[in-house]
Amino acid sequence: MSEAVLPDRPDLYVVVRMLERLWRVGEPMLKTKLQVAANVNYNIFTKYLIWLISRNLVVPVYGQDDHERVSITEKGRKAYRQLVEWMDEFSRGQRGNI
Amino acid sequence: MGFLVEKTTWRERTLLALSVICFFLPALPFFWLGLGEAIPVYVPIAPTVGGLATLSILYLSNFRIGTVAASLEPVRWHLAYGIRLSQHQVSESFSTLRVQVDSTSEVEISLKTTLKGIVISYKAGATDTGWATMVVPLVTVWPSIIALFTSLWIYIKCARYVRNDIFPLLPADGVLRHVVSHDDIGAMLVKHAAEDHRLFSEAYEADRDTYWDALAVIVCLAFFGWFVLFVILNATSADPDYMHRVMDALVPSIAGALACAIPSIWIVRRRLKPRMTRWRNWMTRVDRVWKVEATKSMPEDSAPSSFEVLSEATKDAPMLMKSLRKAAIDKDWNAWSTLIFFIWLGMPMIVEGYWSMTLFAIGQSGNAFPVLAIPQVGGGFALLVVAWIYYNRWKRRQDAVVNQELANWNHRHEEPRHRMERFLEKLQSDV
Repeated sequence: MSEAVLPDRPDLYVVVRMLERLWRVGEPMLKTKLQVAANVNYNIFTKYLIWLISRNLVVPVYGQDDHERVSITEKGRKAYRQLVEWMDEFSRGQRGNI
Repeated sequence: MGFLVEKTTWRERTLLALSVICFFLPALPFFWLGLGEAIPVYVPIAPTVGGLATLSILYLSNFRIGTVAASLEPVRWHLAYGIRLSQHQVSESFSTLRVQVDSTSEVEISLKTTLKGIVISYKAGATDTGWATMVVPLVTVWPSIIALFTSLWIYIKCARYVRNDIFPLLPADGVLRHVVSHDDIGAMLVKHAAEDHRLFSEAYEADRDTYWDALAVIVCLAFFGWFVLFVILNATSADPDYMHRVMDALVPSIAGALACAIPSIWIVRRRLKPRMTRWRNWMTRVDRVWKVEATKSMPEDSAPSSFEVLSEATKDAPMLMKSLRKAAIDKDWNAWSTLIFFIWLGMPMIVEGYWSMTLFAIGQSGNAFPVLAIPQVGGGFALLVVAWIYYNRWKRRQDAVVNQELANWNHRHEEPRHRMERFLEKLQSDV
């Protein structure tokens, strides 16, 4: 996979869409399926995938069928949990006020 | 000692039988003697008394579900999480869980700390709609038999819900082995989606109430405006024939009232309908997320992530807060009853005073001018003005509370937002 131009500032939602789908599936996932879940075109998907791999949030996995799959790492799982926790904290305060 | 699940079926059946007996015992004289000529004073209100007895028995009784030797917090969390997984709305307070079973029934689960552990019990209840189906037939006396059936029906739904959905959450051997952790991602998403769904539903209901209240106020004001216009036109007409004067005043006064009411209704619709639609859309979106997280199913391929939907939902928090806080005055029982009291006292005074003067004008009340009619009408108007001032003060107080909370909200919620941004920046530089 060649190094693509990384986004200046990655879109949080695209990052989360990919991490969330990998966390939900719980096993290595075909890149094409992950791209559909990320809801972005192939070029952008590739940039984000490289970005995530370079930060050790996801890892490429090669199965017996030679298809490239992607799996979430422990760091990626923790990152996703952290984001959900912050969002929960954010809305807990909101609910507290209401 | 752990959970001790107690079978309450026989007690529920006894209670149902008792409530039917307690309805018919006081109410029987009404259905038996009600059509007779000489009826005692008690008889006309007998069904209402019977209905109140039934409601008291069914909705004030507390049923013990079981006991668990654990502290309050894990038991509450375990129950609340289980209830949310079955996609029922639940609101938590320190030792109570209030579960909405359906549009008419509600169950209140109480957790009481004792030396033996947490004693779990439940009480049947009803939503506003549910209470309306019970109380309205009850106060209208004759249809009170309907109240008996609706109260039994709502009670049975609550009891069935507890048996089918709450009992299975309690392990029969008495040990809470699998309490899902608070920081489990799935559990956090389920809780978040369920809470958001509850808030959006409440906001929708609050705006819907405000909408109908506003329409009711417009109709009342239009009626009042028509009345005042009719009196003025009638009094200033030079036609000696009373019926002619009435007919001449009737059409322009109705036209005037309609000319004010129709644009006002249009403005209210334009202001509140989009907000109601917005809450409905959020309810649908959040419900979809809730279902995915509760059933651990796979969302549609290109569907937005749960995180994305719930994060977007939090952006509507200020507007949500406004809708929930600015809920209709009828949610504030003290303010609502005071307002109704002033109007209820004022309107008949105006109508009676005007009627006395009309009778005098058409020569039906003798020659004496009804002196009391003028202060009566004046007093009625004064009471309506007081009601108006009272309502405005109440509204100003509500607005002040909302503004204060919005300011607090902006201050308190900067931090998590900044954290997410810093997190991304850190990841960006963390190669």
